[in-house]
Amino acid sequence: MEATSHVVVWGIIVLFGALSALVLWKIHRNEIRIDSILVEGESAKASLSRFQFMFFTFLVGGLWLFLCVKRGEFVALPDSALILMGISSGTYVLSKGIAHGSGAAPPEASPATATRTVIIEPRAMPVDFPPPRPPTAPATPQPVRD
Amino acid sequence: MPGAAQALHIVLATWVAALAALVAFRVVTRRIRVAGLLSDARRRISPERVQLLIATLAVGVLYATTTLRAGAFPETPPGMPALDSAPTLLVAALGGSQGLYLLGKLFRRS
Repeated sequence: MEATSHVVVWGIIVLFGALSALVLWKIHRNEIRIDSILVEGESAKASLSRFQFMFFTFLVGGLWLFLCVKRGEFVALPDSALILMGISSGTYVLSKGIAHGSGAAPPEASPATATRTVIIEPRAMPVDFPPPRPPTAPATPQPVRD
Repeated sequence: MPGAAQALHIVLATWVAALAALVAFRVVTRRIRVAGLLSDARRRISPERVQLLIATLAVGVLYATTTLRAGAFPETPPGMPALDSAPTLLVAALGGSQGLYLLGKLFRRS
């Protein structure tokens, strides 16, 4: 019975590892696109808040996993790590509130309500012109009768 | 099953490290768009964004260094947090920097 559970657990770990490797491979081959991971909404400008989110997530997650591997047990996350991430996300929310409150920045369009501007380029269209008329002779003045 | 748990941790840690390396490489080679990270809506370099980026990177590096040296996450002392403890200083530094950023943003919008 114990041998079976060992096989199941190791099978899950191998499956998990293979899945993780597959995700990395797809990102590497650009089948999962991450080039706009820092861009906010429809704008082409990178967001500092998103960068902070990403930075602290990798930092705290990486440190936590490193400590877990080093100690061989789960390590509790301290308040300091949560506060660091909380400050970052709180600022993101406040920043969005300021931007929306002043009306300076347009609200981020959700995928359901997003509209797309379509630019129609002018093309040469065939036009049927009427055939040119032959030149008409000038009207001759009629003689005046008494 | 301590062996299995250790293996799972190693798989996860390797995956996070590889993902972080991939993202960092793409940020450096500009394959992840970073244009406008330090500029405001008028496309001008914004000082509060620059200081926030520097503060974020500095706090992150200091936090990681403190953790790796001690082999544990820096803990705030029980009771009132001492002002000279590493986590309190880092949190205060990051909080102050974020406050400056928000004030600058508020000032520019009004």
